[in-house]
Amino acid sequence: MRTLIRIVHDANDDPAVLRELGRAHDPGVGVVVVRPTPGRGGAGITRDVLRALGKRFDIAGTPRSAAGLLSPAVIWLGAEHTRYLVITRAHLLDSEDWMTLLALRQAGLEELWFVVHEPALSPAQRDALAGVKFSEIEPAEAASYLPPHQAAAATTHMSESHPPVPRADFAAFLTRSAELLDTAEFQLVEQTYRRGQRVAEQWLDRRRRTTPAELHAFLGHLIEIDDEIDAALALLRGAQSRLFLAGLLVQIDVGRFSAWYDSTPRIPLSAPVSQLLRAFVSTRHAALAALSTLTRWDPARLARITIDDLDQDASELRGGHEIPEHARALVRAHLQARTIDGACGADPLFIGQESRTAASTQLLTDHLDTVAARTGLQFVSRAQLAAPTDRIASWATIIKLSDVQR
Amino acid sequence: MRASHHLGLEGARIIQTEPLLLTERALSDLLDALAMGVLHGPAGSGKTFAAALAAGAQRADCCWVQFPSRPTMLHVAKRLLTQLTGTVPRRANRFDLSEELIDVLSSRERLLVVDEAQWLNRECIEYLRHLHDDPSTRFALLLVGGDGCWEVLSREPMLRSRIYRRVRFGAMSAQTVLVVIPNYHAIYRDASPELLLLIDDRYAHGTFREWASFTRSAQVLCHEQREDRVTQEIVDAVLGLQAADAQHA
Repeated sequence: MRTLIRIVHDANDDPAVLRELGRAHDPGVGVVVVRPTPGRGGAGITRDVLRALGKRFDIAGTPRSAAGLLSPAVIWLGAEHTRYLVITRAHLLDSEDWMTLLALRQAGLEELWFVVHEPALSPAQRDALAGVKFSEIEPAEAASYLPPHQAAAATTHMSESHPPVPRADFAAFLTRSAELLDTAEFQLVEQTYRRGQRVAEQWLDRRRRTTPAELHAFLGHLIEIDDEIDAALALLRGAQSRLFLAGLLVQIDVGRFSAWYDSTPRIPLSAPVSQLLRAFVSTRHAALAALSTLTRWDPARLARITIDDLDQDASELRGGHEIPEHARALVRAHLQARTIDGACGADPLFIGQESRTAASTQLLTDHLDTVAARTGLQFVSRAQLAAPTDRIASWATIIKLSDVQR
Repeated sequence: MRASHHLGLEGARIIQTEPLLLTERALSDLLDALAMGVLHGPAGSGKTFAAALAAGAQRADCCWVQFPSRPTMLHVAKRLLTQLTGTVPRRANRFDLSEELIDVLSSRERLLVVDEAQWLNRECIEYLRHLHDDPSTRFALLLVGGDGCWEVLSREPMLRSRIYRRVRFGAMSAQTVLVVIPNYHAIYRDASPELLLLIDDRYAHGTFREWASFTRSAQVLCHEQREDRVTQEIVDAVLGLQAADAQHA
């Protein structure tokens, strides 16, 4: 894609122009407004770009050199689907910084803006733009070229809750839901139910035989994505219906399930959690923490995730884990970083620091500890996972229909 | 910084001059809007005293900083961080220092006073603007500067367009001296206008700093000669002392 270059001349250095542009900053809608740190040298403009994307540099192990930050800047801009990159006070940057910014076009930007608070470009800046087509915009109308800020709308969407569901068993679940709920509510419940069916189908596809322990673990993973009991129950009902067709009758004691659900701690991959994870320049830390929070898999299981387990846009992890939209860039960035490394198919998503083989459990545990120390989030360790299937068995009884027939 | 008279002069009253009253109002307005302002005028005209007095009357935390002549941007960043946190920063690069400064300046509302602002170069001014313009920081910035300060600051559109309050200080006129000085210190209460104008003409030149300096010397001589008011003899003696100092210098 061709990136449009725009120059905004604000010779009066009007604070209102910067204020308006600052208001347009919203990575969620693809607008990133960068405020370069005055001065020269060091990590250069890429550090300011990454900071505008929410990255923090007071985290141990974060690259700091200009060369080390260019690739993360391209990856993160692309992963966040940045369309407009706006550089304010660009007249203070040297030609090297301008060249670096032009190189960021490879992130798939639609537009790259240089806002200069001088009447004309310097000869060095003109040299940097040599051979590059650009257009100029009046400062007063600059902000109107950018999409409006939509953070408030995103927040509203996040707070939408799942409708209550009937206590009917899986065979009558949809019919009772249709009777009790209005059309919009029923549609949401049906979507969740169908998701449960789809996930169960994918799970069955990868297995010829299954043990009760595996099935209990599957049920546990299935519902840990949602932090509302009604959504969890709708998912279970959908999964039950699909498992039944495969000869597996799952009986759920709703009373015991409710008690178990209420007593099980959960850290949903919410928008605020995604925001915390955006502080990491390291794609590996951000993606690992996002997937750990989403799946509550232990590090050993996370180490087995392959490139193929994720769809290209990182919207879903195989096994029915739908990745919330606000968290996709976190996973997408690492997927992209691995793809640039040449990884594909069955290659591991997380590799060792010095090797191309799957990362060790210890390494991933260390990474999660780093994220936990920085963010205050808690992740699942192997010890925490020791007993859940036993507890799930307290509310889910599995009967193989072939055994019954015999 | 506490407002105190030059040389720790005792017994001097605070005179509510127009620039002092305007400074009080300006600081209050700057804090309300978390905006930028400037006090400027010749050395000794009471800018720093007025700023310290007005800052002390505000509820917000005040950070007072003065840089050596021609500081670099990094020096400004380190000094500010030291002043704000009480510890000398270990980091030395502009990014780390700036990110830490922005975090500190975002934590609560403050007033940041930069004294002798005429010594700042363009890069340093740009840096202060960068910190102030950051959407997360919450501080009012007051630049206090001597001769040439406004000329330096107003040359920069980035500052000129952001100055919300500006107070000009100047030397007192002879008329003002005759109104102000009898109330400034008890030793001048019954002094004749001719005597006051003589001191102003020969020594103080309408500046509070010089009046404070003269008054301190006169106060000592008054005490030695058991006088509670300045007399012609005491004025002559102080002027003689100053002349001797000038010759030695």
